[in-house]
Amino acid sequence: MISYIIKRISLFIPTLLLVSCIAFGISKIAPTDPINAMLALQGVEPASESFDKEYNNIYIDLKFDLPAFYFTIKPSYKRNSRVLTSSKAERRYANMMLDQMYPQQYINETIKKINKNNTLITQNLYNSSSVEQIILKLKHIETLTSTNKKELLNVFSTKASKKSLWHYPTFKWNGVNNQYHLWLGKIITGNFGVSYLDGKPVTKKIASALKWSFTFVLVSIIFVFIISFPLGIYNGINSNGKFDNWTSSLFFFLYSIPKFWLATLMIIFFTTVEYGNWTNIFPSVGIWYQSVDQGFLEMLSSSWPKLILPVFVMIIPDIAYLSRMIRSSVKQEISKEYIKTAKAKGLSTWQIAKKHIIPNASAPTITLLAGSLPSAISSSLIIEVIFNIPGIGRLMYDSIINADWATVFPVILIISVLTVIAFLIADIMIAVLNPKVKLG
Amino acid sequence: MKKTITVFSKIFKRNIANKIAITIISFWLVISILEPFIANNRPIIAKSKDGWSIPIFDHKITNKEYTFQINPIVKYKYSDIDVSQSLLPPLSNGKNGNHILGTDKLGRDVLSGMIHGSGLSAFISFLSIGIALLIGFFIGLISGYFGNKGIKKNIFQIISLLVTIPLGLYYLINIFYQGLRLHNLLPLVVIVGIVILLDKVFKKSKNRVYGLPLDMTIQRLFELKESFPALFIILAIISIIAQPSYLTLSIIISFLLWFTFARHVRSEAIIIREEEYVKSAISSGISTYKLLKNHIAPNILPPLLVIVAFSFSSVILLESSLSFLGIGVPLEEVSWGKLLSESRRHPKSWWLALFPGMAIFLIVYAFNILGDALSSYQKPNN
Repeated sequence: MISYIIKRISLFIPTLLLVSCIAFGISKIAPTDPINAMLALQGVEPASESFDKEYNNIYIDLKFDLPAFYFTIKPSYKRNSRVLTSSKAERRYANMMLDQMYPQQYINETIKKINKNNTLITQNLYNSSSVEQIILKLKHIETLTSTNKKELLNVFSTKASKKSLWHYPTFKWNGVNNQYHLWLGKIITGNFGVSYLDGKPVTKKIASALKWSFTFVLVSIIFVFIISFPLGIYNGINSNGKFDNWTSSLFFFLYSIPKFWLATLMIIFFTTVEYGNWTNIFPSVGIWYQSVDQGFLEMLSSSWPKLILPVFVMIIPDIAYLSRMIRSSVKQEISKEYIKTAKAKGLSTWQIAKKHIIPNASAPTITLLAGSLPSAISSSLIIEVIFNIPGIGRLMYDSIINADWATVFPVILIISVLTVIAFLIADIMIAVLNPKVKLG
Repeated sequence: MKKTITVFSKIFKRNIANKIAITIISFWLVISILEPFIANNRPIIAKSKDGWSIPIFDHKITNKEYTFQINPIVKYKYSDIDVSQSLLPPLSNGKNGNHILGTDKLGRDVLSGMIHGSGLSAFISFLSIGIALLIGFFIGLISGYFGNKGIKKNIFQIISLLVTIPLGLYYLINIFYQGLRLHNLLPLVVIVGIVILLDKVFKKSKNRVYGLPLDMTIQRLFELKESFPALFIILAIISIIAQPSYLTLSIIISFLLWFTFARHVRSEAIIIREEEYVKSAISSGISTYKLLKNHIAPNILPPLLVIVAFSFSSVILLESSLSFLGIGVPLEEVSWGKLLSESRRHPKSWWLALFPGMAIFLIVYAFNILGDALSSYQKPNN
């Protein structure tokens, strides 16, 4: 057992590393600039004179000038050196032209010319990735006068580029002094940094969100179990009876209901006064993020009625699914020989159910429940968003919408850890409940 | 093809639920294909002084007087914005006829929006499932049929593969980045040629051969995917795309989906590999390609249909939830999820919540029933 757990955990480490690589990679190619967000948080105006200086300070502080990963694979014409000047636009264009093999002399001259037309260039051309693209964009800007256009077209010329069309990959080893390594080191020691959005520590945000998500998911799973277990057993024993046929088709129906549709209908019809006072049964949605002076339990005790509807929406399709599964496993069990023997012995149906069927059917049920934990966290995302529950899904959604990558990636990491732990628990539970299963 | 139709007609006849499901799906397909002809603000065929014309394909706005015209059933286009008609309830009269299912905040007709949404859902589900099936079938077949010992190479062949594959990948990625250009394409072609050539040359060497661990690699990939918070990573990837479109969305969905297909193809291929008729075909000297094409692939497809049916419902659900959340979908498009999400801001307009959600529900329900029916058709005892 222990060796199995160790084996699973050792398999889990490469997965986590891969997830962290993907998370880091996405944060590198994300179009939003985290430094801009941080400066906005500090209240530095983008047009102010100190902006460029502050920007550069943070750029160096966050070690963005280091290589991104342990190694770099680049086309042969790209250079490894980066230009670090005080102006953001200058740095951007200089690096871009370096990548395209422009001579240093030419770059310096261009930068001087760029500074004359700074606002236009920073606004319209900043996102272009090559000189060719800049020229193409310049030709299509309609607000530009023709003399100005000509001047700028003279600034950017492809003729000076020494870039050869034919290229081959070059490999460079960067060593441990790279951004990913430093980032990973921080994360392993539990330092997730601060959110770009509100400057709060990400660890704190995730902890408070996890409390809500766990409460929500656990309560739903308990309800699902309480309702679907007896239903599934009853229907499995009396399969093809009248009740079974009815519930089977009903469950198929319920299972197909999209959760977000059910949630929207519930919110519209049962939390507003639009359709008469008697339909306004439930409190309106929305639990706000935990304030500092209020503990989690205090918050829960005051706002638990707001969890009724989300839990209801969450469990309806799950009950349908789980009781179908339990029913089929009971049905399989009941067709076995030993049940016939037990019947022949004269045991009543209830005795057979209590002694044989329930213990044998509970193993797959618990496996299913534990296995459904990760998917429950995923599917609770949309419910949390609709019902404004400050759980992990809502935190993810809010961070994505606001491009707060400093929060998004720790959330992804935490959720993949939880996913693996849930699967591990499911596997161990099968082994505990069913000694015939060999782990390995 | 004929076989598929007979299977579906048999399923259709079995019970009332199957009848409903197959009817809903056919209805959805017909509406999706004929979408511009059903809901449009121009006549389909019209006769004016200049003669007959087909105004639906004419993108210029003309105010011609038609003497004769055949109109689409719904006389509104999904994108027609008319703020004066904002949030009209169902069956109220608009400028161009009845708004059968009402209008939304911008005065767009809900019914024509739903017809457009059905076309979008069909596009996304067919495209992403098509791509995923191609990838999944190929990889699952390799992993299941060849296993770890099916393809054997000697040490020189392995080394030449190890050197050339990363190099080829480099140029392939460059093609994706820079577009199809000669200075990327030519090296790629040369490298593929070298790989084939080296493989043939080194085949003659009498060195010891090793099986390529294809199955093991793919199994590791499955394990990795298992512990991946897929939805969360998809959200993150989609949200960084500068210009979201339904094409990129379906490609991303297909990358998530092919694992499911590959896993099933693999397990089926492992079973079929051991069947007597496959063994006798091998001993009769059939080529591997013909064996896979004529004997193995046709027998994998039927059980895979069940998975395909269920994945239609899950793709449509995923697409509509993403549209509902407003992540990774174009802003100006109208889809079922978008219409539904509008209702949250306008609780008084129940039609915005009821009808688009009903459409999602019905199609998901129909595909679930179809999947169930297909699986009980193939395994009647279960």
